[in-house]
Amino acid sequence: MWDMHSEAWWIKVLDGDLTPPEQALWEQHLSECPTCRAEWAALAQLEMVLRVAPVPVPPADLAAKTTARAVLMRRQRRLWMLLGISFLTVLLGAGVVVALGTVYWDFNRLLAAMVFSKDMLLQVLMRTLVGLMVAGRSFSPLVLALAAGLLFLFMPHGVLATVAVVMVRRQRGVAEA
Amino acid sequence: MTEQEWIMAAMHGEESAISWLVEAYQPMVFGLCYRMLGSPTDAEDAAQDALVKAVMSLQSFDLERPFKPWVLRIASNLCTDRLRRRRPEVSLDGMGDDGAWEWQAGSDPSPEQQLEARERQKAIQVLLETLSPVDRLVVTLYYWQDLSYEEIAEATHLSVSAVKSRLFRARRGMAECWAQNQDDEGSYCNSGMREAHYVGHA
Ligand SMILES: [Zn+2]
Repeated sequence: MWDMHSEAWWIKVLDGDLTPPEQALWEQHLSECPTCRAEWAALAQLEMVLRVAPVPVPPADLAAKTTARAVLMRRQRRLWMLLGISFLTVLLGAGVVVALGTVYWDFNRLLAAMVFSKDMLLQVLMRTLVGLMVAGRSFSPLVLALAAGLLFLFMPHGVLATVAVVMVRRQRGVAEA
Repeated sequence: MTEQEWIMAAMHGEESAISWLVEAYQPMVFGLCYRMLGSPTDAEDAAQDALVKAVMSLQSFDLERPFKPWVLRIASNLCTDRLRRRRPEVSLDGMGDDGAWEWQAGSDPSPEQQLEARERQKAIQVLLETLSPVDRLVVTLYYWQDLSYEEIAEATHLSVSAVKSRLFRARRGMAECWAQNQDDEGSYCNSGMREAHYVGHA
């Protein structure tokens, strides 16, 4: 049995969830209980007041203003993200360059020490290259291969090591110690 | 284009899609903010902030779910936050007097109709002012946003039974207040974010 003065019952009534027998019981209770009758009437009146409430309408330019702000903020966020990504990429790139510089420095040293001294290797390669070029064979595969070899072996020395000069020197100091 | 397609386009930052979303949802978001905050200026401000926030966090929206409760939840959180931060003194007298709000029914209402609508609007805001922010939110979502109990529960972080209970108590409180106001004209019943009374008169 339902307690008709309970919250659960009233919620059920207001939701329109009564079965026909329950509805009949409820109507009978309303006719007998003045408190419930008064409350029921007050709730019905409130319902009407709220249901016919005028709908507030936003100012006409609000949507345009909002869109403009949202688009602007999205762009700003994108810009910051791009900046962040660029910064990280540069940082990563610098790290890779330094690492490569260090590795190639050691590689060159090892190779040079194994064949001749490093300076001699460079001299021999340069002389061969110049000789070939003087002989008018500037674009022969051999010349290109030699040039590539020179770049490969000594480029890091010149360019990359300049970027990572501090690290390379430290490395050399450690190797020589 | 379906709504989902618009939302997806907006997620990718397409300006026309963002504009579409704002146009489509601004009225209901503004309505909610107006009922919650009671002033057109505050409502305008809050509605704008809520929609910008929604656009900025579209990535977290689940496309499988309806958009309306999601965007209303953002607006609800924003309004309850603002209400809580607001000082208890809420000026009802100044409310609606800056004329920024209009009414929807019929075009070009007469000055008398406008005045009447404004009075009705004011009376409703007086009723809402008697409720706590959460109860006010529940009532607003139920009566003017047509959300289901489940959707209200989700928007307010309450359980469905808590929503039903709060809604009922709020209704009773407001009904009492309304009846009281009808009896002695002009005196507003005790406002100030009180919780609605418990039913039982057994
Ligand atoms: Zn009774």
